[in-house]
Amino acid sequence: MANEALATALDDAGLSRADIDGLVSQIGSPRGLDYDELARLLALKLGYASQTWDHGRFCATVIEQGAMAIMASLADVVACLAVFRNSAFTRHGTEGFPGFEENFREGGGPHAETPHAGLLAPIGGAALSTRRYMHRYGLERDAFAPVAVALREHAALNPLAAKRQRFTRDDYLLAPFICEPLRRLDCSVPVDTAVAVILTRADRAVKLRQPPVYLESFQGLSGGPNEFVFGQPGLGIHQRDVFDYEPRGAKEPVFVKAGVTPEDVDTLHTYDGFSPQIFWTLERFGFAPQGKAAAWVRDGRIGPDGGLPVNTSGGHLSEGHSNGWGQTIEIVRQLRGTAGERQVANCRRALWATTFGDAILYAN
Amino acid sequence: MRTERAFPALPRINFPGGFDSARVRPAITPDTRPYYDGLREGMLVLPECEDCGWVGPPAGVCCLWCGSVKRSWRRSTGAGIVHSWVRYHRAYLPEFEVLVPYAVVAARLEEGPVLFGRWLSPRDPMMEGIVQGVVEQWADGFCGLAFRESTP
Repeated sequence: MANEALATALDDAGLSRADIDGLVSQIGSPRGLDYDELARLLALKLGYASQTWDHGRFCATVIEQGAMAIMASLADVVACLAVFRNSAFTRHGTEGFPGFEENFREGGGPHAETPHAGLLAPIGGAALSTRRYMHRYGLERDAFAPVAVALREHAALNPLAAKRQRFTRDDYLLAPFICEPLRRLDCSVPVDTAVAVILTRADRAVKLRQPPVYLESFQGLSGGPNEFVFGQPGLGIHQRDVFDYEPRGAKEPVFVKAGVTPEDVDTLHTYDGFSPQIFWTLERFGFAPQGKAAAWVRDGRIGPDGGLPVNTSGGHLSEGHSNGWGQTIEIVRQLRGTAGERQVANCRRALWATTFGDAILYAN
Repeated sequence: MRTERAFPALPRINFPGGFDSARVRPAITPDTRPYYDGLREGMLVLPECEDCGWVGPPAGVCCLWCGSVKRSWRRSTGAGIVHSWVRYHRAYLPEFEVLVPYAVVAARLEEGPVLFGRWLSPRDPMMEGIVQGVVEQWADGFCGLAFRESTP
């Protein structure tokens, strides 16, 4: 899978393996492939290499590391390689899934897992944050339906999406709970993924086979006692303090550094392991007022032909859980104008941004 | 350890089904041993930072807020409120199959930290409702924390 992704990306760019001198990898599963093994097995000759942890949320980190390596003249052409073969393992949250042992760390797992309390799988922490958020802002049980419906509308236009059958708000409310208040249609669809992204300097990129997509600005992951991967600061789930969150919104560095505002973004792409993460991202990055994303997304605003199409490939919820890489190549399609039926009109800027604070502003 | 208020022993129940804790118990380290040893004795104790005063969850080698390593263990009554709760409609491990659907609460204790525990009362948890920590003992003696409605 890794080789196929790399070969496809090189062909797309009009480059050969000999051009690659940098590698940043996120090899999810099977586990245990380090950069040097990858280089040996994929016939790469590297002067710069880095690798991230195997599980989700590091796609922007990988791209940013590659870009920084180029900016620091450590490499000329960096291959970013993400491969996850999750179908070879048991279900996320059960014994036998890669990373299951993370649940038994001091203080619990990365998503607040506490196995002896039955708080198992990433969905538990996400559901706790979701109920707290619903309670704080007075949300009804159908609040997340527009998110699930809109992403399926996008996916219906994507032949690569795992789930393409459209559904309605009423269908959503009939979907079974997995971990209340989250329903099956609030959850991402596990899939296998192999994506390669090639980065190089702008002056070199313009000479290659495809029109380049530029990184205008980026910012890194947030962490600390008031951050939680499945919740806004202030919700108090796996976070120290409970308070009314006041997002930085348009003052996030990704906007300030590029001299743009959320209104300049033509399409937003985000990490949607669970549907509420789309609300939290819309609020954190200043698209929707804090606590009001539920009203903001109504009437198809984030769907096809909406004012801000979000995750136009269908996202993790419908295209499949690619740890953000499906969204990344969809951003490239949108900015090249090759997204077919899903093409956002006059797409100039696309933002990757997440609940956990990282972001990349892409432009053509 | 503070002694200015009375600390009755926490109520105790057995985890249903007679399961051993082998598959679910956390790694117990010198940083967390007083917490788990305390539960076995019917006491809830939490790390309190001697520098910033924060009472946190049992994890890590230093205060999770200010980084100080000057911490002592402080007794808690186990009383708190429901900060959030969820209900599992699927068992991810066999130990919980007989319980599905079962609820888990995030309880904010009087001392500050939010701790997670299985919900033991027949009625649904109420947001902001008052709860009491309970020791939940597995067949092999491991003790974790669970919660139930507070009875006046």
